[in-house]
Amino acid sequence: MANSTKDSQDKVSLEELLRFKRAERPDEAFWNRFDGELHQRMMQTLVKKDPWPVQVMRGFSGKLAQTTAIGAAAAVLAMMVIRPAFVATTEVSPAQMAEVEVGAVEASMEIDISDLDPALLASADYGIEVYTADQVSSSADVTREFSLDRIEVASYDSAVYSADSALPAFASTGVASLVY
Amino acid sequence: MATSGSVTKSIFPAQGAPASDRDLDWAVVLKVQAGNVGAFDQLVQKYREHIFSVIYNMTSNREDASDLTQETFIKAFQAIGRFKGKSSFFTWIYRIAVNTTMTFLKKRNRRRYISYENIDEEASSAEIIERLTAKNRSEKGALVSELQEKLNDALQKLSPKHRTAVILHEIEGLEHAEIAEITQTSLGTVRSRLHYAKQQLQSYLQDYVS
Repeated sequence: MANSTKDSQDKVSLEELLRFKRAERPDEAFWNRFDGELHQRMMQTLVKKDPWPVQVMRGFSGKLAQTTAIGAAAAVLAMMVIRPAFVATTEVSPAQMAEVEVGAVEASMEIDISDLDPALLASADYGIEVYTADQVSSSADVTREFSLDRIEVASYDSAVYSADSALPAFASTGVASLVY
Repeated sequence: MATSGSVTKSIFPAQGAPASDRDLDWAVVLKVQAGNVGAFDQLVQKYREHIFSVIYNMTSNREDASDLTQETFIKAFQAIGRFKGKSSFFTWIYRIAVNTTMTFLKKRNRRRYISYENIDEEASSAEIIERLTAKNRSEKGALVSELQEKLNDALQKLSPKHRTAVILHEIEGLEHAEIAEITQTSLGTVRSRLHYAKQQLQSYLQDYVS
């Protein structure tokens, strides 16, 4: 009876045994060294910059994304507003436009073959003949395999033009765009 | 405490307990978040020994444990700006410690370097030592060293997950719910792991355990 009591007193449970692990403790010198090293590493993290991919990723997940979006929108807006400054155009009065038309008619081509370089003609194994549209339509020797469609790059008609108003700083310039 | 058989007491406030300690931690966290970097040292001083103990018992290597404890605090320091206080600070930092150690153990793989921490003779349970000395009829100093080696060896035979459960509960004295929160598992999983781990340890340490 006495032995069994002593045996039960000598018994140690697993929980009691595991609590023995709590006694494994570092001494004060360890903690002093630990604190010093930790402070040093923390200081390094404070001054150390992340690698650029990390910065980019963090930036896009945070405020940089907003900033970028706002910046892009501002850039687009700025391009729309400032664009007229880069396109220099001159407002043309109807009288000036008429002069241009007259000049163009006068300069309509009637090419004289004597104007061409004789040397070039001598060396070429082909001849150059120039026919006006009227000659083509009246000559039996020449056929035209295409119809002369109406080719009109721009005819002056003030109604089909619109002009953007220019900024005061660029009062002499403006953008003319063709509106069909 | 969670189990009737255990006499350990959690040193941290439980979730349902008055949250004064939790509030104190939160107040310090707010200071750090506001830019008072020095305030973080209060948290280090408060938790460093517990964090070190968990990691040391998981790795059985004092140098690794020291490095990983520092790494844990540095990670916490870097992430403290994102800490919203949904869980207590101690749960949060224990989770960082456990995850950091788990990652380390996976990398360390099968290589095991054992370096034991000193036994604090005064802190060790003198009564347990007396009983074991009487039972094994061995010299006290030799028994303590032998016991330290056998306990560490037995813990290292467990899987990291089972080891974590038994360390947090039996050595650190945390409740099941706290362990579940730290390891991000269910209460049932924690209880199951504890049950299995203790069965294994009982088998490994049968020379010492009744």
